[in-house]
Amino acid sequence: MRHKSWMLLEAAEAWCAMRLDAAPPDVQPTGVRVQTPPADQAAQLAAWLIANAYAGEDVLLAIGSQHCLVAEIPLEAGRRRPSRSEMAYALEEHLPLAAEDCVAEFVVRPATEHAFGVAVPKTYLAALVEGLEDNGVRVASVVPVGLLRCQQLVSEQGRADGTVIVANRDSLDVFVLQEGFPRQWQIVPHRPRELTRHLQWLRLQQGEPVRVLAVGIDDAETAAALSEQADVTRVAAEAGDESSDLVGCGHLMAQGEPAPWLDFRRTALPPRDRFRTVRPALQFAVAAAAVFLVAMSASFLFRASRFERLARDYEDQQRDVFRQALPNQPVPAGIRSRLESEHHKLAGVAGEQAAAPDYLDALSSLFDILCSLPQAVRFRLLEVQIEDDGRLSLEGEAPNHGDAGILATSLRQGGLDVEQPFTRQLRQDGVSVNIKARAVGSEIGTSAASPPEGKS
Amino acid sequence: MSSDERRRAFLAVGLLVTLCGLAAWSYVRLQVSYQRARAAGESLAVCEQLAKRISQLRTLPSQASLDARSAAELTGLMDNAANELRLPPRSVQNIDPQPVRRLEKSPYKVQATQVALQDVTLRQLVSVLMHVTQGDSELKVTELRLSAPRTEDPNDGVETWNAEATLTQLIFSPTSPDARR
Repeated sequence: MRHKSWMLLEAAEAWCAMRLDAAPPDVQPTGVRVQTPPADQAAQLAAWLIANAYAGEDVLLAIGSQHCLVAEIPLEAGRRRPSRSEMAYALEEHLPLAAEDCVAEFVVRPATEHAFGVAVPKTYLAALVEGLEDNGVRVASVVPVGLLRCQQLVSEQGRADGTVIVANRDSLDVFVLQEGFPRQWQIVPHRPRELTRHLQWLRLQQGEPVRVLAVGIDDAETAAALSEQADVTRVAAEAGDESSDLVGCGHLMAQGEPAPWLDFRRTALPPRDRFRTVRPALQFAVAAAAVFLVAMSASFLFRASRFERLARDYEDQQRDVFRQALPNQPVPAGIRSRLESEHHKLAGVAGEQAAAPDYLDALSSLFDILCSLPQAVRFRLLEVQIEDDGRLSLEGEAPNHGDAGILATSLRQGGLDVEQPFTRQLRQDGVSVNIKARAVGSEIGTSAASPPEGKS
Repeated sequence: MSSDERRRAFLAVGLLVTLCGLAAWSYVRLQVSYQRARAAGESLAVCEQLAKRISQLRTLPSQASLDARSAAELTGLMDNAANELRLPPRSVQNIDPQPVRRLEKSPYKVQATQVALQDVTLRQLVSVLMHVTQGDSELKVTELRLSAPRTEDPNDGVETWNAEATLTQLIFSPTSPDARR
C-alpha cells in the first residue's frame, strides 16, 4: 500500500496539516476554519496543499471527534457476521440520523458479540472528501482524530484494557478498551467536575476501580481532579501538547502498520477511483502496451513493404519470361494464364495432349513390310492391307507351304507381330498364303531410304 | 475519479484501442502482402516452367493443325504431286474428303480423305504419298490397301498396283475455353 505523505487534522478552530515524510515532522496551521461549509473547507485545504508543494501524494484526513456518533451494537452469537449495511441499520436505532444520511464504519472485536460503530453525517464527510478529490487531493484514509490518538497511545503503552482519556482544548475523549479495541467512546467537557462525574459513572458501570491512561491533560485542575479519584490507577504524566501527540499519530499512519481501527475510506466512503492504488502500474502497463503495439505495427508494415517489393520483382520477372517466350506479343495482364493457354495449344498441336490419338503411319508400315520380305524365296503378293490401328494383312502365292512359312518368319524378323500364316494348296502349282500381322509402330524415314520395286 | 482523471483514462483507452486497430490493420496488410508475394513467386515458377516447355514444344514436329485443310487444297496438293512425279494420266481415280468428325471426349477432330490410285508402281505410290505428307506433318497416311488386278507392262516389266489410301489430318480444336486448361 502506498504510504500517506500528508495528514490533515481538524483542530478545535482550524485545520492543521503535517507532512509525514518531512524530518522532523511539523504541524502547520492552514488557516482553514472548521466553521465554514465543508465544500469551502475542501477547496481551501486543496489550495493550501498545492501552495505547499503537494504533488498528488496520499492524504490522511483526521476529522474532529465532534462529528462522530458512536454506539455499540450486539451481534448474534454463533451466526454469520452481518454485512456492513446490516450493521448500519442496526446502528441506526441508536442514532438521531437515518442510515442513509450517515457514513458508518465499525470495529468488530474478534470473538466478541458486539461491534463498535462510528457514524458521521454524510452531508459533512462526503462533501469534504469529494471536494478534496475534485480539487486534485487524493484522500487515502479518513479517521477520527480522537480515535487515532487513542490507538497511538495504546500502541505506545501496550495497554489492552482500561480507560483512555485523550484531552483536547475544550473536550476530553474518553475511551473504554476491551482486548485492545475500543468499546465505548464519550466526549466529556474539559472541566474537572464533569470528568470526575464521568469517572464515577464508569466505576459504577464496570463495578471495579477504573484504570486510566490519559494524554494531553496539561492543566493542573483537571490533573488534580483525575488524581483525586481513588480508583484512577495511572495518569500519563508526560503528556505534552497536542501537536507532539499528533506527530506520533502521523508516524503511526505513515508507516501503515498497524492499520487504523477504523477508516471510513475502506468501505463506508470508498474512493471513486478504485484503481487509484494501482494507477502507476496501470499507467506503466498502458505505456508499455502502447510502445509494444507501435513497435509491432511498425514491424508489420516494414515486413509488408518488403513483401510488396518482392511481389513487384516477381511480377517484373514474369513479364521478362513472357517477353522471352512470346516475343512478338504484348504482355497481357494475366501472364500466367496466357502462357498456360499457349502451352496448351502447342501441346495439342504437338500431339502431347493426353487425348491425342496415336495413328500409325501406313507408309512406315509398308516400308517395314517391304524391307522384311525374304530375298531367297519366290512369292507373289496379291494384296496388302494396312489399317489405321496397325493391323496388317498380306495375301499372295508361294511355291510351297515351306516357303510360305519362311515368308512369315522373315516378316517376324523384320519386327512385325506376325500370326501363323494360313496356306492352301492351289489347283495349279503353288500355295496361296494369307498372313495377318500387327505393326509394332514405326515412323517414316526410319527404314530404307527408298522403297524397292514390287517383288515376285 | 476526478473528471481530469476520467478524461485521461478515456484518452488512454482510446489510444490503446487506436493502436490495437493500427496493429490489426498492419497485420492484415502484412498478410495480404505476404500472400501476394507468395502467389507471385509461385506464378513466376510456373511461368518459367511453361516458357521452357513452350520452347521445347516449338522444336517438336506438329502432329495436329489448328485449322482443317479444305478439300480444294488437298485436291490441288494431289494434282501437283501427280504432275511433278509425272504419273500416267488418270492414275488418280478419285479424292474423297470425309466430313470432319470429333474424336469422342477429346479436343481433337479428324478429317479423313480417301484417295484412289490406279496402275501405279510402288515407287510412284510411295513418292506421291510422301510428297503429299512430307511438308505437312499433320497429314498422315493411316490406311493403305494395295490390290490386284495388277498389270504387267511387257515392254519394261514394271508391275503396277491399284491403291486406296486414307489421308488423315488431325485438328486440335478444344470445345470450350475451359478445355484449354
